[in-house]
Amino acid sequence: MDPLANLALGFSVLLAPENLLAALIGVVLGSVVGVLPGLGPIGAMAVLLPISFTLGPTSAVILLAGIYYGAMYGGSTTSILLNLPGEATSVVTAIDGYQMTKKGRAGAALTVSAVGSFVAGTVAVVALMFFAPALGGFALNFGPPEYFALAVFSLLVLSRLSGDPLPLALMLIGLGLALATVGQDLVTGTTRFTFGQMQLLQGIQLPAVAVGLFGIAEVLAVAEQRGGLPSVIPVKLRELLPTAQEWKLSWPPILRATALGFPFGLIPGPCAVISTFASYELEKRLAPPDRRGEFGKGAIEGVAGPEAANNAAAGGALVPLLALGIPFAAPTSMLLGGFTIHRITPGLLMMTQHPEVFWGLIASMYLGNVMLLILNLPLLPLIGLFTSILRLPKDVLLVLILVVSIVGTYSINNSVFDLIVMIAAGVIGYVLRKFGLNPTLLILPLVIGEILESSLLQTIILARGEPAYLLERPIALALLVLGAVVTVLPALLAALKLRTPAGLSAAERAGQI
Amino acid sequence: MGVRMAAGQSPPERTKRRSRWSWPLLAPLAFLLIGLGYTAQALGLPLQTALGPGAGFVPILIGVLIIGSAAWALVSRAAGVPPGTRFELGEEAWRVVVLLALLFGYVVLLVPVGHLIAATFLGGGSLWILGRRPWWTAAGLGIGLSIGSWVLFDLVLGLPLPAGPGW
Repeated sequence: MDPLANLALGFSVLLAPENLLAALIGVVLGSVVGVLPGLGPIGAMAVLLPISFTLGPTSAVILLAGIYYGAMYGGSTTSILLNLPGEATSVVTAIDGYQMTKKGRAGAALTVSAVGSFVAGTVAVVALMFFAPALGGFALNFGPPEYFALAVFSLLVLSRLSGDPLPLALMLIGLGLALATVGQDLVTGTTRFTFGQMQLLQGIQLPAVAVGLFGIAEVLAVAEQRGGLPSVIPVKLRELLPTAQEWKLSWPPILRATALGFPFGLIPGPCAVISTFASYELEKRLAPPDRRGEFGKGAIEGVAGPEAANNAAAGGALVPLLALGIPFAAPTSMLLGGFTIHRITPGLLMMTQHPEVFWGLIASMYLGNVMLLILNLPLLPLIGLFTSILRLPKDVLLVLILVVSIVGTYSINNSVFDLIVMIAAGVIGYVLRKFGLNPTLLILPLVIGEILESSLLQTIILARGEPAYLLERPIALALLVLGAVVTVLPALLAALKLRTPAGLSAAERAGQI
Repeated sequence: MGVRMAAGQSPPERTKRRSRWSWPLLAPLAFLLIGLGYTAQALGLPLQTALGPGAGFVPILIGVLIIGSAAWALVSRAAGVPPGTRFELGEEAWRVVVLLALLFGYVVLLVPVGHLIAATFLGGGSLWILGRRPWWTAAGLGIGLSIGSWVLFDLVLGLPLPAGPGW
């Protein structure tokens, strides 16, 4: 079937009332989560996973995906109105968005942000619709060596792009992989690292770890600080629409960021976040001299570009998950967790054997973007409804997150042991924050650890002890070489720079030598 | 925990000590210990089977990765915070300890007394600690949260929560 016929199938699936409701609930919850600082899409998907239990697989996938891309929209609202990014992808939006609010142009910033997100999100779904099946077809050439190389490649790139120093990133990735080995070994059936606890036979549950690292740790971090959240600046009706000049300034950044963001989503690691910085820098460089000075003081291009970029990247990040079954980022790892609980294995098999799930999801993303545009346009009082969540007393908000987290985690397996894992992960997340370490580095290895181990062991068996076997697998070899280059090259370049006279004197001045 | 300066040290001594051991290095040190413990456990697993590598093969590689990267971080003094950053606990850090105790309290109480009482204890206690509200307000809100979460998860979503004795 051609993509348009498949899309028609997707829309016929989506029109079922439970799927429409799942899409609506998903995007609304995503927007709410985007508004709330701290919990983020990963923690939210984990906490809200039990809600999907009562739904069929297609509705569950639609709901979880809605939370994921809905959070990308919602984060901009508090960035613009409060200078309080709801999640990492909205940090850059706050720079100029909040300055616009202070100048009385909050409505224009919110409208441009919503429209930019809608355009980028929709274009990303179109690209996803064509890219994912093509990549899935290409993945037919993949065997254990290729999957092993892909897993190694994604972890190596993650270690470079996380923002942490390389040894620290590798250390955290190692811990994530170690956690993935707990339980019964799927290849040989041996029990490992369970210390006699029967509950650990099934391994460490991803939702419990995710809720702990992102939900509980955030509550603990906020609880130790005195003071409340800042108050919302009311948006006046006359300020709602952007002027013709503001629209003219916004369209080129939106289109450029859409083209820039999607490929960023295909790279392992926190690339939706990086795409926002890249788009901001690009717009600053491309701006005429008289506009360049406006950046940081309320330039609408600084809102339009990053907001479009993160939504396009969010769509791009779904390609490796849906086509190869391997997530490249922490939020899509959580989506994979949700898929697995509903016994859905993403990849080409899902597209061919369960086309209603894949194309229903694609169709829901088209509709979801329209819903999000309506929800996030300041013409309607819904923005006020979202930001009014922040008017709740801080203690009530924190305790609400705490209770939903704990009940949500328990409900996944009816397991008290999962609650202990969640609290332990919360303590680890809190301590990691104190040390300035990035907890998202634990999630991806925990999810792909199993794929990495089984594919490595199968590769060794297939190779029969001959390392030259990899030379016969050009895709695997290329991925491994690329991963090694990405990891080693920056360090090599830094070392070479240090050897130049300018580098030496700079290092000496900094007291490094 | 931060490395506190001993009383009576002269400033150069303090600088020297801080430059050698700063608190962010405690993270790689902890990971080094975790890596060593993990690898020791992994060494007890079969490394080889008749078909190929055993259950201990990959864990040993992971152990080597943790130990190697932690040692590298220690040697290169890599830290996740800018050099010279002071270790700071928030003004209300004691609340973290109390919140953790309340969370554990919920875990212990959940099965014997049921969700409604355990969640009232958790919600009410947390609100009392975090909001400095009068105990009856905190308890009232705690009961509301407990009933609300039970209605949502148990009644609406059909995900049963422990009801406690007599239910």
